[in-house]
Amino acid sequence: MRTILLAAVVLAAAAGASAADKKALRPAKANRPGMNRWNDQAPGSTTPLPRPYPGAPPSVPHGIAGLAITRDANSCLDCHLEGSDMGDGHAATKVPPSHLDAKAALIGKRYQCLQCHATRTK
Amino acid sequence: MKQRITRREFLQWGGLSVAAVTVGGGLVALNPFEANAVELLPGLTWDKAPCRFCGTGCSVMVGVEKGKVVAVKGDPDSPVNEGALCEKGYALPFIQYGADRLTKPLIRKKNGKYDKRGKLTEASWDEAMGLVAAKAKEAIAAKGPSAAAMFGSGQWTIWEGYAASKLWKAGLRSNSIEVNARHCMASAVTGFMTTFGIDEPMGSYDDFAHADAFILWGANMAEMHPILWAKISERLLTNTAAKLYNLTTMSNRSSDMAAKEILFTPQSDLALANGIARLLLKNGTIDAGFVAKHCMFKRGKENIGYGLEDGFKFKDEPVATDLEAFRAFVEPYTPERVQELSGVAPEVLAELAAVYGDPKVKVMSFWTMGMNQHTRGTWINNLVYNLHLLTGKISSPGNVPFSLTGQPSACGTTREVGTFTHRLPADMVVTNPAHRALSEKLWGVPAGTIPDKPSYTAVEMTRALDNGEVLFFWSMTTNPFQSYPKLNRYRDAALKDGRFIVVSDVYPTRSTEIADVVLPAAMWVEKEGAFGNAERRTQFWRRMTDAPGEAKSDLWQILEFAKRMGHEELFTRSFKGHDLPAGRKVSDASAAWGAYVEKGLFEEYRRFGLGHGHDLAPFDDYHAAHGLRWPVVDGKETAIRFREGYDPYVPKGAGVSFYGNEAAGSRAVIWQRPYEAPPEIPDREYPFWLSTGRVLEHWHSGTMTRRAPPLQNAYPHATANLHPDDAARLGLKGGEKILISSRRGAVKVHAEVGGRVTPQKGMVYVPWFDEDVLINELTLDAYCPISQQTDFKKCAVRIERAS
Repeated sequence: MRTILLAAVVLAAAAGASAADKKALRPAKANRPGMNRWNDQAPGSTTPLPRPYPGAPPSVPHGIAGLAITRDANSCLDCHLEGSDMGDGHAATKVPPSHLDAKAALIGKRYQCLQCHATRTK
Repeated sequence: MKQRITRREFLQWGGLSVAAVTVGGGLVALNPFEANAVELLPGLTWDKAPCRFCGTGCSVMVGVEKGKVVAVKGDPDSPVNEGALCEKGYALPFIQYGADRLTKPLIRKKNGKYDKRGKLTEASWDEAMGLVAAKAKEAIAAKGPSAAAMFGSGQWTIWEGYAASKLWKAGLRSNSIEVNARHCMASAVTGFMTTFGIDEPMGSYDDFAHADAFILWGANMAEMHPILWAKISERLLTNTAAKLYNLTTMSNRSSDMAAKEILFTPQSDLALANGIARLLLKNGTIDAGFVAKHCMFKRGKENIGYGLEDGFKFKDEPVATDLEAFRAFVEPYTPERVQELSGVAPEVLAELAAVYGDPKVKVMSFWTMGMNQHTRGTWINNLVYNLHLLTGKISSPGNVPFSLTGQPSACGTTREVGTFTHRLPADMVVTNPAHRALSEKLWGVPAGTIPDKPSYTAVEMTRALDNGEVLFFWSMTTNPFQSYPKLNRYRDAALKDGRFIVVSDVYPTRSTEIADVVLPAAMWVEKEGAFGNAERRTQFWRRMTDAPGEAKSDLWQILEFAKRMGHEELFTRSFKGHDLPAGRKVSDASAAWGAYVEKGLFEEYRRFGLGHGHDLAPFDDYHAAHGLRWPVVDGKETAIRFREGYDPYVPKGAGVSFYGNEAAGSRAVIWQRPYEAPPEIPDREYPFWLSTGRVLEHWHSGTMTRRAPPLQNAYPHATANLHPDDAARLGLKGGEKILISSRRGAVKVHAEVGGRVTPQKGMVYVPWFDEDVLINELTLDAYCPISQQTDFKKCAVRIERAS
């Protein structure tokens, strides 16, 4: 075995090495593709996640399949805007004052909730 | 029982003032941490820095406690982001603290000596830099100065790029310096240079608040430029007449705010743009006065090739034409022919032409990699400029063709400093004798020092590495052996005998694993820096923390290398008279040289641009401001170029002046550029288009973002996104492992069906951030012959279930 390895190294050095030899010389980390297991917990069924650090936006604890933020409707606001609770007594975390203007309207620049609030996989 | 809030109701929220404020007061209790991190985290020291990620250039307040970054918040005083950040921005406190941070130089050794077949072994800086310099000298002795190559990026700080460029061009007498930006926005540069004679966008982020129509040309801004997307969203929500059109090859989040999602066949954007131009002429909706006064017409060579052969050469030969010739040129692009090529219906084309043609509608067009990573990238840049020039919708508030960038200093460093093989600072080029002479004078080197020919562009550089013409290759702030196209060839090239690969980075990557020497780098606020964003805004930051272990900034590394290559003097004269700043932590480079090296380099660099449209402010002004947009003349920045009243370079009474083309009467060029097919098109054997790109959560090769838990938890792995019909036809379900292969390589990856990104039928989308899915083993190294920028968006692949 030792001889074979040695021979391979000598051969590679002499021939300038083929691609396969070079990979043997410097093994690259194996590709290990992973699968994303998207969160499928329904809104309202989860509890808030801790913030990564004070001031950081909290991640979204529930799944987002079927929810959409379009020009005409923002699904997040269905539950997260003050006064828009689901009527089932569940208190979703509300949009904070920092996201509201002087008239307490959601600032347009804060409309795209998912660009700051990260989702979570399982 | 769910009720959606309609847009009207959303707008009416403005009316719910007193009650909501009262309620809002109560909200603070529910969200104790939200309001203001500065108040919530007493005892931290806060200072500003531009974000480390994309080209938007958000300003970040960085909170440091006991020498560590522990929090960030959006800089409320920055006009770029007005206090907001995206989820990548909020992840900045994690990027410096991954568990596997590189802290010591590593040399591949066997029996205590450097050996290409050895193992990476800890070494001292002295030994590592000694070896690096010796190998660079060896390469130069064997094959000449161009055999020693530096490959940097749009993540270099301005002075890092400047120092590297000066060392290579004025010290080593080599033009073998390139940047990953060649893969990223070289076509944007050639687009600007061929149309306007001067680089970078004429407008700024101020324009968002004025525009009536946003037209995305293959740019998924909702994921790739979130904070700019927030500006668009605000405009769409507060101006009910405003509209967004998403021209794209795949359904994505940007369509959610669109009046229309317009799917087109890859490469057919060329036909779409010419089709719109034809309709503008047919409908008589061009601004004839503007065209007559401020434009000229040209055509160039056609059937220009794809750069697939080693040593490929191309030189365009522009010929002057006129409006009538242009009219005849676009005539074949009838709605029917455009539909044949693109799949876009004639009525949709007509709607786009109506938007561009309506003098009351202010239009912003946006693009990034969709148009730049394109074998006809220069052409499609030219063609979108045509639409704005024909209608005069340019350089006025809300009217701008806006080429976006993807790296924090693609503009500030690679383009403005000119860290490409063919470039010098301030839009000058090595092929121009006057430009070389001025640069040699400012650098204090003898006439004839700077080589008069470019050596290698990015792809040619690694081809030369393979062919043995480049023997020394040093990469900094980039991960070429994950990000290059046709990766198998170039990874193998790096492993050939006699090739010496140096990688400066902050974490182990796909590039460090094949390097001969790995140099641990300091990053972001561990050093003093400056970036330039997509709206010409230059932003500075100070050093706030220490780098771990023995990690050193790229600037320290470049200057140490310069010393060992015998070019110390080239830099000591730059630093003369710039004493160390008092009362604060200085950078490792400044400490090593006993002078304020950042200031010395910047003050020298800005002399290249003064007086000809590229003026930068004095060094100290940038520490006082939240960034300034060049040209900065008499202390005033410029929001809109080429327009009188905004741009000091426009002569009084001219109204508009495209002074980049001063020698040609200060006119912009309307180009005749045809549709030409891409080099590789899906066929029976390889029936799918492959497009690569990003996702919101990750940035470039994931070196930083995959070590930030909130981002990595949100999007752990790259997936192959497929159209549901294609998945059904192949009998595949979401989550299944598949094998994607092209003529160049194959990778295994899990399928995602009908996800956030759903490509058009016959196409698969795989982001490239994941080092476990080296999708670039499949991509083609074809490039635009004019810009030599690679096309990562189009090649042909096959998909099967993986065993």
